[in-house]
Amino acid sequence: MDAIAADAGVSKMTVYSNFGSKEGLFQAVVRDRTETVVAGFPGAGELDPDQPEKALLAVGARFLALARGDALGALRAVYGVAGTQPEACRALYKDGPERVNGELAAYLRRAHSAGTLKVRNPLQAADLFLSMFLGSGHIRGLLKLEMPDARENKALLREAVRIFMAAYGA
Amino acid sequence: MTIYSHFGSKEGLFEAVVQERTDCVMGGSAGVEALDPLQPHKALIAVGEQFLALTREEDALGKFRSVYGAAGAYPEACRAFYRQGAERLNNELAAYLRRASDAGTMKVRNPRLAANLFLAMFLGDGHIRDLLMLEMPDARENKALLREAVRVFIAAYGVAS
Repeated sequence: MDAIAADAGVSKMTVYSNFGSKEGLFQAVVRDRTETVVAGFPGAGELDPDQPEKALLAVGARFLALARGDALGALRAVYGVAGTQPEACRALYKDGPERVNGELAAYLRRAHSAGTLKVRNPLQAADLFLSMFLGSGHIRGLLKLEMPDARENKALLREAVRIFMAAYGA
Repeated sequence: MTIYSHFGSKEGLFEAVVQERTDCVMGGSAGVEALDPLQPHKALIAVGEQFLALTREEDALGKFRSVYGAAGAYPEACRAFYRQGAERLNNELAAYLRRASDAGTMKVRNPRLAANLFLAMFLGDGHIRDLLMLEMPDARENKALLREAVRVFIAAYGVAS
């Protein structure tokens, strides 16, 4: 707390009065980070229900970028302290994975209504699509090991969309 | 406390502990060779069920949390965790997919990519909730996920019979 107050050029009292506690400060950082990371994720309303393949490529590309880069720091930090920071965990889940999944599910529902996809359980299908980007490349990222290169990522994105279309295409 | 305390072992034993837990995922104690290339649906259900159990059990989750949380400080542990975990399971499943392709029951051009995509399907929302110690998916939800993951995979790589 001393270092943070010094860095911000304020007194430790000011930090405490704004965030309440160390835990409160951690939550605020996680919230802020999650919001920034998720901000660029395409909303359901921006995607064309008549062009699911194009929409999935856009969603997948964005999610892949999160899963390989921007989201790694916050995920590592929160996973490491999951037992002692339940509020930060809930905040990260709600503003992160749950929101992103919900957006994609809403899109899948619209594509289903438009007759371009056939999705009985949109939340489950959305989860399956997004999880395809959380395999070994994401794990390597979380572990700070050598990451997949651009070519590998592109092949993964294409194949994930192909699989999804094979299973849910109308 | 070092991350090795989560594994009940010193650095030298760390890799062996991880290996021991992932040993039975592919084909149970009989090993990956026991998976029948003529019955991909059955094999994928078995592999998926084992992997799902591994990614949902508290003991394993504690290990995931501690290596992720300490990633920068323990590069050797991270490398061992990856080598004996994700990488080994991927390679073993890829070997099975290659055999099924040769047997004509599946059509998989890039077995490593396909194996990675199949296993990743169990690392989504439910696994994240587990890692965050939030409400866990129940048995019904897990079973539905397993069935759908296999259906999706066969839809993409299966050979129409």
